[in-house]
Amino acid sequence: MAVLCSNCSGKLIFNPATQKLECANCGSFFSPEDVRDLNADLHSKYYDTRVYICGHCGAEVVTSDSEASTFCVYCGNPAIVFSRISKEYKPDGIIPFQVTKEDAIRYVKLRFLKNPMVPKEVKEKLTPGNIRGIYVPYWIINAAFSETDMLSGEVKNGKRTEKRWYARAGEVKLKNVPVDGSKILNDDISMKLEPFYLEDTKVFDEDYLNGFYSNTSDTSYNELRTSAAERCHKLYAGDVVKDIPAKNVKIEDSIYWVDIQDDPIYIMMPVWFFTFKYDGKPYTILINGQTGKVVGTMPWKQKSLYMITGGLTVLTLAVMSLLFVALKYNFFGLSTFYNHAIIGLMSFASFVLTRGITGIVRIFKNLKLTQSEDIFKYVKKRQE
Amino acid sequence: MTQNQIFILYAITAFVWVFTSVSIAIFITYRILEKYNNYGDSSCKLDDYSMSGIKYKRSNDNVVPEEKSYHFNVFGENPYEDRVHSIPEQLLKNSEKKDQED
Repeated sequence: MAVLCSNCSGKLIFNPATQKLECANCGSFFSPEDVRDLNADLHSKYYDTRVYICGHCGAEVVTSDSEASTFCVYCGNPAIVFSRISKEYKPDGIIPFQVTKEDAIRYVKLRFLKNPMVPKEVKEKLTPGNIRGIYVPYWIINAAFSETDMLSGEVKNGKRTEKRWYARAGEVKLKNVPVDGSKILNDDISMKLEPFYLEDTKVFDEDYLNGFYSNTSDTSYNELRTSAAERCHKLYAGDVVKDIPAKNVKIEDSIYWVDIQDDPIYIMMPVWFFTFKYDGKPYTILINGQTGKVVGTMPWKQKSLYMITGGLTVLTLAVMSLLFVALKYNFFGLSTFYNHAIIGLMSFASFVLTRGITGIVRIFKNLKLTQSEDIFKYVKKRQE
Repeated sequence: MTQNQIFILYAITAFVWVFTSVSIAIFITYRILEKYNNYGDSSCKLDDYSMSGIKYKRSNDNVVPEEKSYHFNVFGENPYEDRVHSIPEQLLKNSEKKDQED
């Protein structure tokens, strides 16, 4: 449990800025490796944690010291109750927080807060009280991965474009792939938090957890293998399409297998969670506690969005009208290009419209992931 | 050119113009949302985790879709089926817990 200051018995908190344990009472500081908890058995495979249960989303929030949790770090709900003291397996390693809470707030501000479309209420919620640091469990695996694919692509044949089919079967050896070991985080989100740089990994010491929350790995071996296969498939798929000599390559069908080599390494990775509610819905923005990478989609004011789209339509229409006048009255001899202009504009507009709609659909999908209740439902579905 | 033809010509032009304007506006709106509201798309590639890259056992261009079943039958068996590995205790504990819940 909590280690106390040897000078004044005050509570020690890990400070990411100095990478030291600091006493909140007298200001003394110590290296985590130098501090020894007299109650702790150094050779034990276990460490003690305090587990809280969220009455709203059902998540387990784990703290390692005597700090009481006041709200759920996943959905922001205050309906959280102390459940038990639990002994957990010690992870093999930990990447300590390197980004401080103030830095995390600054990174979010830099990303989103200059945007006039982000509602004022959301900007006001970006306070230290709404940000919590959590160590998220990951498994670092070495794996052999095998995949067989049928792909399609488009090839020019004279003036025509033909669809062609391709077959690929291959194997790849992968090293140090991080796989999220917690069901509460969607794998798509945890993947976006990467990269984590393993060079900063320290041997696990529970003193690094002081002042932070943690989440222990709750996946079984089979679930880890499924997640690892999906993770490796995404990496493989990104590479196999480059091997096809065609445009607009798609994987039409695939089968794949993974073999996780001996002894996956259990590591705690640092993540800041900014949780807030807007328009009755919970949102979670994540910040990589090692690199400061911000992951999530901020809600926007619907009115601003309609105004921007409407304004842009009017503006482009005005520009297009000028072009029409130039064509109609043959300014600069443009009317000879009239038919070409119509065909060209239609093709251009179709391309741009497809890109725009696909992009907006993707952003809405990301927004759904950011709404943590949806993450939870997704996780529940995966558990079933 | 008759009145009807002129009308049709104007209608087509107006449609093209409005369609293009709306398309461009939607595209710019997407770019604004992408730049200012959406963050953190995955940037990891296979090269980040593999030194050797993919070793292809089969690499055929211009196949016909009907070959799929043949292709999947030939390469469609788990190559790692018989391999046994040691499993960390945490994962074993989680598996037991899951079995009990089931």
